[in-house]
This record gives sequence, C-alpha cells and structure tokens, in this order.
Amino acid sequence: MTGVDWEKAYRDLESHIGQIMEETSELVNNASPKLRINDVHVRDAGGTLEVIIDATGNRMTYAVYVTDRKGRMETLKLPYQLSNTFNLDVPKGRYTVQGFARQHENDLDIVSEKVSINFKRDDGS
Amino acid sequence: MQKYLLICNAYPTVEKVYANGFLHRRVKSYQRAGLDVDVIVITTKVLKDKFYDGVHIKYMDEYQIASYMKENHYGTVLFHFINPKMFYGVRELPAGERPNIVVWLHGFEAEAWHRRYYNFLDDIKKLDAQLEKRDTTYETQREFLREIMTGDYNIKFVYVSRAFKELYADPFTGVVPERFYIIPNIVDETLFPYHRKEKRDRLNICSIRPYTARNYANDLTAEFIQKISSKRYFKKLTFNLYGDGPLFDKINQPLKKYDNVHLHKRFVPQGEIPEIHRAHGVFLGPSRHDSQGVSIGEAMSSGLVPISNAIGGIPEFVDHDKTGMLAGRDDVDAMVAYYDRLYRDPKRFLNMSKRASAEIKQQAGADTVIRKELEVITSDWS
Repeated sequence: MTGVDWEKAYRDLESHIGQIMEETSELVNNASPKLRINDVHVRDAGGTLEVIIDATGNRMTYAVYVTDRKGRMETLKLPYQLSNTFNLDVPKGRYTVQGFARQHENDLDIVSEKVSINFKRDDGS
Repeated sequence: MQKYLLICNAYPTVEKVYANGFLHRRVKSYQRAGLDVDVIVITTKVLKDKFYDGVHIKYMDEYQIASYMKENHYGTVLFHFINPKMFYGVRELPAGERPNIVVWLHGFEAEAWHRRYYNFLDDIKKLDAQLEKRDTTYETQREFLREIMTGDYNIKFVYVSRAFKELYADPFTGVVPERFYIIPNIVDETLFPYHRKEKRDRLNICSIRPYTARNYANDLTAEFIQKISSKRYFKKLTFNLYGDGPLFDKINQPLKKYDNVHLHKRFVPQGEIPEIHRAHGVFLGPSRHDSQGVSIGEAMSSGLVPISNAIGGIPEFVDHDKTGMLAGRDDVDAMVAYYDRLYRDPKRFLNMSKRASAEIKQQAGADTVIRKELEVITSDWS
C-alpha cells in the first residue's frame, strides 16, 4: 500500500488557502453596507411636495413614484438621479409616495419604501 | 450467474432523466456485457419500485437494504456516492457472507469540508451551517471511509482522476486503499459525436454551465469576455452562454451591453447540447474545482477546443496547447492570451479540435471506461 503524498497535498492546500485569502481580501475590501432605505421624508415645502430619500448603501441613485390615492392623475414616475431630493409640483391631495434607492446602477439591487401624505399645497397665498 | 447490486443516492427515472444519468449509462453497458445488475436508491421516503429504460430501480432505507441483502445473495455490490447508511447492509452481513465491493469516489463524498468554500461566502447562514457540518457530517464520512479503506473487506476503489485522489480524497481520508483504480467518468462519443470544424468556427464561442455555484467559475467567463472586448477582432466573435441558476443574472449583467454576446438563461437538456457544440468551435469552461471536468470532455468529444483552468483533474484530460488551453487558477489574462493564439493561428485551432476529440475518446470514451470497469468488477477478487 502506498501512502498519502502529503507534500503534494500540502502544496495544493497552500494554493487553495491562497485563493480563500484572496477572496476574503476582496470581500473585506468591497464590503459595503446592505442597501436599505432608512426613511422617506415628505413635506410641503412652500407649495411643492418635497421628497427626501434617506438610504444607506454604495454609489446610490434615487427615483420616486407619486400616486394619487383617489386616482385623479396618473402616477408620476421620476427616473433615477444622483440627488436624493425631489421637488414636485402637484395639486393638493392625498398621495402615496414610493421612494427607490438603487446601488451601483444595478437593476437587481434596488430597495423601495412607501409613505403617505395629505398634501395641502400651502404656498402661503 | 453471479448477480450484481448497484447502490447509489439517485438514479434516473422518467420524471428525472438527468439524476445521475452517467450511472444509467454504466448499468446499460454492464447489461450489454451480460451482467445481471439490480439497482437500489437509498431513500428515507416510501417509494414504489420504478422501471427506467429496462432497469428495475428499488427504493429502500438502510434497514430495508440490510434485510434485502440478507435474503438476496449478491456476489458483488457497487457503490456510487457512498455514505455510512448505504454501507449498513454490508456491515450487517456475517463476515463470511459479505460480497465483493467496488466503491466509486466521484467528488463531494471524499473531500474536506473547506474544498468548496466559495459556495458559503455569500451567505453567513450557509457558512455557519458548513462549519457545523465540519465536525459532524464530514468527520463521520471521513471515519467511515478510513474504516472501509483499511478494514477487512474484499473491496476496491475507483477514483475518477489521479488528481482527485491525490489532491482531494487522500488528504481527506489520510489513508490510501490497497486496491484502487483511476477510471474516469464516461464521455460518450455516441452522444457527443465529432464534427470537423472549419477555421471560422473558432469565432463562435460557447459556454454551457450551471450557475448554481462559484466553482463553475462563470464569473471568469464574464471577465474573459470583458477583457477580450478590447481586441480589434472582438466584433467578429459570437458568444452564446447557456445555463441557469441564482448567479446567472448577477454574473452576466455586465455582458448585456455587447451585441455579440447572447445570454440563454435556461437549463439545456442533454439532447440539445450536440447541436450547440456543432455550431461552435471554442468551449469556455473555466473552473475552480473539478475532479474530472466531464462537460469539458463532452465538448472536446464534439470537436470543440476548450479553454479552462489547470485545476483539479482537468489537466489529466486536457493536454495544454495540444487538445485545449489551460490557464492557471483564476488567470483570466492567460485565458485571453490563449484564445488570442487560437484566433491568430487557425491551423493550430483545427489541429487541436481534431486531436481533442480523438484523445478524449481514447481516454474516457464509453468503450475504454466500460472495459476497465468490467475488469475491476468481474476479475481479480481474492
């Protein structure tokens, strides 16, 4: 019976460990927080609907949908942009605002949150 | 007439044609050679017997196997993907009544817990579960293999490649069985017939791989395409990537911008593979862990020139620069350089294509493999 060639096995194991370490290094270096939306702030900013998407992630872009809950107007869909703040000129009414955050311009890495607002369009007049 | 019993973890049925299809090809070949072979699939469920393509398949747990083996005398028992439960029936027989045993070691059943580490890095729960298995499942399997390799059994072992034995299995078990054979899995030339390639076929590059785990290294294929896109000739090339699994979208996302890269997110049935092989000249089959690399061998059989990595058992079946191109582990730059060589030297490509098919047939063709296996199964028992 021949024995185990431990020397050969060890050399292979070293290469194997090398790969594990390289991958670990990549994981550590690229570790980014899991993409999440902390809050979607909505308020009446002097007659415009201001939406601020507060999110955690890496290289994020933001989009927003505004849906009139009574269905009087079509859902407004604002495309992805770098700024997390949106100012919308909409009539007064009750809206559902869905804020989106996308990471690394990757369409598979998106989160969203919905909030509601009774927008009174207080423009001071 | 001596009867043979094959015990395994899965066997093809009409509903699951691809479950260990390579076992069925073996059983049919043994039958053609005149052997009377019964098949038992170990299971915890109560399942009725099934018949598939002339083979009677029984489903039993370890206790049922034990009583079945006591009542039915088999001269030789063949195990694939062995574990302690499968072997329980043999243990329960009195020493003098134990059959001859042949154990095939294919991969995961004889490897250390860390070998497929890349499958556990994307999910902490998976990693924790694997670490737990290190001390339970893997240790039990190691002790079991050591025991049957050194115990008082009339037993032979078959490894699918020498590298698999020496680099993966031996260091795991820590012992080498007295009687072992290196016999690859079949690369069936009737399923993957050779078709002569033309020079232009080297411009058509395909990949047919599962996207279920990182060992299939599809990320290297994606990186290969991104790197080769800077070559002037890139637009002359056509890529067809086939496969399915949770990693497909993520890995191939960066390739969507190339018009000449076609992504086919689907499982490819075996019957369709020869047609895909026929339409391409180069097979991209990078890998991080392979005991043999059967899909690479199948592409070679059809006449495709593989580009892969010199890891595990692959170099035993792909002769670098003669029957295919082998870069180092994860070395995409070398893969690109090797393709470049094929692109610039069409004669080399044509010669390699012809040679790849001839050599894989000689090494792992059905006739070669079955002849060797029949010899192991039927002769030289003490």
